[in-house]
Amino acid sequence: MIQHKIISVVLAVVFVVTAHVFFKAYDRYVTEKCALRILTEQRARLETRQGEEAKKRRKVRRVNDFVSRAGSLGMVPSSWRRYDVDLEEPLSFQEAATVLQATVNSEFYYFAPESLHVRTAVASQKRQDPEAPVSPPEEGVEMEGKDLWLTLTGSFVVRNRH
Amino acid sequence: MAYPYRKLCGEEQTLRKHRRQYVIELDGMAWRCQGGRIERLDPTWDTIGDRWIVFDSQTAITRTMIVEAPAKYAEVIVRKRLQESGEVDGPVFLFTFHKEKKGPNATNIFFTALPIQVYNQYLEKTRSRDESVLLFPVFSVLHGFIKRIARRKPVAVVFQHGQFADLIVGSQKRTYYANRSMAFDTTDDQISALWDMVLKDIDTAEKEGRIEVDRIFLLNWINSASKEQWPGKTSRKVVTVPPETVPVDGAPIAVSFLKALHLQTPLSSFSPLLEQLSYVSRRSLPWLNVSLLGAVILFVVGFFWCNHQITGYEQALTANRDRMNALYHGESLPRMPYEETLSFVKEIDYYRKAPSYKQVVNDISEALPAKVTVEVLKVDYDDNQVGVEIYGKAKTTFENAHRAYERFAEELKDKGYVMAESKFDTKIHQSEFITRFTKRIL
Repeated sequence: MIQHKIISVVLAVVFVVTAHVFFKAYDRYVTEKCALRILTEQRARLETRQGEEAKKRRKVRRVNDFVSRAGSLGMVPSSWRRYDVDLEEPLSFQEAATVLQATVNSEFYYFAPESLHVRTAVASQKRQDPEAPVSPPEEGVEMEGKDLWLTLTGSFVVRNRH
Repeated sequence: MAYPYRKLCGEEQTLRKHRRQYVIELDGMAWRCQGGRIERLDPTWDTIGDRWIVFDSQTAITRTMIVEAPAKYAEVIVRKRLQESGEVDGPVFLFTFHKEKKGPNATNIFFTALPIQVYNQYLEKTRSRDESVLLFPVFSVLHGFIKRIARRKPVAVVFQHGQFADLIVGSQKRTYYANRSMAFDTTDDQISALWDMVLKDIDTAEKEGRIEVDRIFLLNWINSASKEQWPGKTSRKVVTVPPETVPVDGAPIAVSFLKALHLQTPLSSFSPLLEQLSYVSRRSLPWLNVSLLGAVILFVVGFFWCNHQITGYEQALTANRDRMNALYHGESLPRMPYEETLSFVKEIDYYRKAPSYKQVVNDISEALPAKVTVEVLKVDYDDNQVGVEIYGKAKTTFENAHRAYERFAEELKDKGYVMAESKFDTKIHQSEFITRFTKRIL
């Protein structure tokens, strides 16, 4: 019986010690588990945000590439010049054809069209007619035997050679 | 816990090897029962180890009594009465098995009384060694047996040993009668007379208690009369509690009293509560040790498991932190100003795609039918579309003019122009129209 008592005392002490050690370890286990859960959630959120950031970076890279490529190809305003055209005068059909031909884009320039008004001589003679659908040329301006009255606005956009 | 009555009526069994050690003092002889055998002891009980002692003091008095006192003073009255009647000399130790209120100022009490010096002798005997000993009077075993066989109706339990027959009549909840009958010797005639006394006592108990006893449970000991000597002439059912065959000094003997003894619990003992608790705690010490050892093993295993888990979590945490650091320090690209370049490129693209004046004039010329002339043409570029306004005349009949006008409009539509407004007037011999078209610059 004495042996039983000694064993009981020893076991009780060991029990207390192991219980203490175990619960300490268990407490740490719970804490670490909780920390890992929180960190995993944070990481997931960060990864989601990083995914969005990566998308944004790809877009920025594409835009930057575009700007660089446009710059290398000279597609920047500083590499071009603009020549405005504001024509308003009577022309023969032949002259009008030449003018219109000149306003077509070519390999040397672009023409930025804005407005083209054409009135034949017949229509211009009726400028006093209130029923006229469009405004006649300004009074005092004669057709001088031309076929039509042409008003043209626009710009030639030309790339600098140098 | 009630012990099923049916179990008691089973087959004769060999004594199970109970861990308890019993010392049974009956008829002036002491017997030790342990490990499935019974052996005789010398009068000093010089046994070692925790044990239960069942004793049968010749000076003990066991009976039921109705006293004129409230329940809490019943013991005092009983002691006084026993002393006054001279049945017990000197102070009395009283062990109450059961008491119940019987009327406003009366109590029915079932007890065993013995002189206090006798009780103290037992206690001193038990306390002289570093052992835990519990005391059980014989009637305590019988009373416990009645309580454990789970009978609601009153029954009689008779324990016949030597020339004595101990009788107790009661149910699970109440004890009606208890008495010891004695014969002069163990001859057949005397035993028969003993049984007659027992049966008369049962009749008396029935009359006094206004009850009906329909069963008699018989318990025997190693010196009991043989079955043939037991009563055969009674209307009641006689149940012989199946005995356990025990080697007694080498010779096998069937004993049923041990079965009643096995049904007892330490807390139904005669000993002081402290002794009872001491016994229980000592007996449970090995189990406590096993439990503690189990708990220690569990804690140790749990500790290693937790540490293993913690190591895994720490690695995962480190990996997560590294990953997060890498994510936090991800490079960010500088943004180049693009608005002006983009706007300019769009502008150039617009110029490239916009139909030239010549193309618009050509489209109109190609669509224009004969006999229809255009007098005014307006071409305006605005908001990614080109607007065309045409004022024209057709110097022909209305029918031809209108058909020509419709064909003109259709052809322009085919070229991608959408009619926004159309006005057609006629003076029969000549007609005029104003039409507005738009075309998207794609």
